[in-house]
Amino acid sequence: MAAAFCHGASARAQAVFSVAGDSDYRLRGVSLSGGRPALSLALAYDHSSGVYGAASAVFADGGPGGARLLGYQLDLGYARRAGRDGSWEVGVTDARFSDPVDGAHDYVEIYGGVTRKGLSARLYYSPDYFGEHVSTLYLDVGGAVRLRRHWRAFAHGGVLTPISGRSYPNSRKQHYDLRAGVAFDYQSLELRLAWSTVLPGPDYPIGYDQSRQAVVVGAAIGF
Amino acid sequence: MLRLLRSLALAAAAWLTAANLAFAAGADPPGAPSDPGRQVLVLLKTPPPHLGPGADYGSAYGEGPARIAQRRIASRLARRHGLTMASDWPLPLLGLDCFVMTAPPGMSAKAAAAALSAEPAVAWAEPMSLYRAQAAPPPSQARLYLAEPAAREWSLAALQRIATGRGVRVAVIDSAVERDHPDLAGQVAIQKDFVTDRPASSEEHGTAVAGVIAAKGLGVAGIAPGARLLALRACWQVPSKDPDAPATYCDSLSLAKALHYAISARAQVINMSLAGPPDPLLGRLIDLARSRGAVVVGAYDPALAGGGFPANHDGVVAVADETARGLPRGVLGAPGRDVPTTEPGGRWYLVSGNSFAAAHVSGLLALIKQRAPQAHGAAALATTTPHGRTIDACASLLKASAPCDCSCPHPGQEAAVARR
Repeated sequence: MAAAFCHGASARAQAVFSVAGDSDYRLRGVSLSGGRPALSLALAYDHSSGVYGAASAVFADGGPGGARLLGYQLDLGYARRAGRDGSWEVGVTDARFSDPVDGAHDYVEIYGGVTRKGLSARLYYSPDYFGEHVSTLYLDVGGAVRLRRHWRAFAHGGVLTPISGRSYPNSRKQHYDLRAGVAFDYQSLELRLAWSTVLPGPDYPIGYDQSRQAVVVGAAIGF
Repeated sequence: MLRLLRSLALAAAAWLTAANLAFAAGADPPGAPSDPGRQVLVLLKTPPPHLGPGADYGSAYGEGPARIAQRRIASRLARRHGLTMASDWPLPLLGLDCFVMTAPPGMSAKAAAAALSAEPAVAWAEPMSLYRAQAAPPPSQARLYLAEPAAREWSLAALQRIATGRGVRVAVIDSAVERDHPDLAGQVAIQKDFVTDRPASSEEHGTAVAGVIAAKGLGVAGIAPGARLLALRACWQVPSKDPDAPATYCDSLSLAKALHYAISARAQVINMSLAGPPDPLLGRLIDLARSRGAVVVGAYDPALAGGGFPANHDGVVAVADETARGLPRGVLGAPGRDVPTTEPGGRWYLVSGNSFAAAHVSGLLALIKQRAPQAHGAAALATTTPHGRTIDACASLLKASAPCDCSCPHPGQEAAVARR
């Protein structure tokens, strides 16, 4: 389940307040919500200079204990159009997620990326991914294509590579994640159905008991 | 948590219903022609795509929170100025979102556009303009004769021994082309309709222009039968007092959609056999098309200032019927009188007008583009005399084909023209 709100704009900026939720909150193929539904709140800001920022918080269904704060994320970046149908961006992300077993996981990532005609590629570097004393590179390639007026298909692939630091128990050299699905949009409503998986398995970075793959259902709506 | 989700879903559904009603309230009722005299195009600049909340879900251009924000901004501007939202269309090649708003009775589109242009969130606003295809009423059928002007004056058979426009993408921005006409079957690579509120499967003007450019030669010979047509319907046919001469109109938005598509589809020649007032949005799209190597051909309209837009736009190849007198500098003459071409219903007929002169030149440019893909604009065309206005088709093609073991016959003559 997801929703999106927005505020207006000044001469040089626009801000969007959004609420998003899904049947499972999966980051890079790994469920951070333990396979349970999650709700996200986010505020995104775009300045006409190209500077953008976002702050988001995720709440997960905590079972008998009710909803709990799963984590938050701050993004700050700069994007520019370039060449034919393209753009590039650089930015930094500061995130903090928690799980009932290990407690808090803080990490910072810097990233750079390019987009062109609905395709995007980004490379992220984290000196201490999920606070596990492992520096990582993550390559993210994605794309979306409009099938019909209200329908589009999307796909994403990513590879997470530890490059230095301690060897994490049960971790593998590289983790691959894939996601593909379809979305239906009508005005500011969006419904999504996606299949997500991670290889060789979801044993990094958070040690939840969870499935290696899942079907995730979500929706979006604007206010 | 589930209760929370259910409550949110109900609230969202209630909001969506209200929002839909509000959005639809300003739209024209189904089937009714909209009044372009009260419509305004409002262009909002869009931020470049970038990482953000929800980016994991593969948002394409014009999707996601940025799109929602643009809609909210547009809705707020419409309310502030007393306008109603009609529709919207993303223009990613220009980094703009285009919103169509309708001014209330008593307020002109020009005044509304001026007020909206002063808003800091607006890149610019402009009144929706109307464009008209440049076709004259057809001659009587008694005057029908089979010889095509291009066959005589352009030595078409000789031209087609040098090039047929093979594989060149020619966008026909016009009314609906009859794709399964015997002389057009297989010639249309892509067909798109940007006037969905006025459905039509085939219309006269678009079918006739397509035939002049690329008919296969069953009934008539198109100038470039090897070209691949992009039949982009941006215009619609309406009855007129003369049942044999229906009028064909287009508006700024439908033309912008079609031009945007033509650029995205890498059209090499864009035929616009129509004319109307200058339009900043269309002008920017034409500039973009030219910067990407496309040649844009426009029909000259002597009744409009400067020959009308797009013919008077910088870099557009402006074309008129070569038999017209007093063509101004910069306007090229091509066959445009008593031209046999395709007609809806699998028929053929004669047409006249600057629209069809423009179509001849688009076909010729397709031949030239096959031989010289970098050929650009009017500079690729030669005239019969050094400062003349009438196009010399064979000299134009030879100029693009050099070095070439080929030659131009005198008009009306067959000549041996060999491929290089």
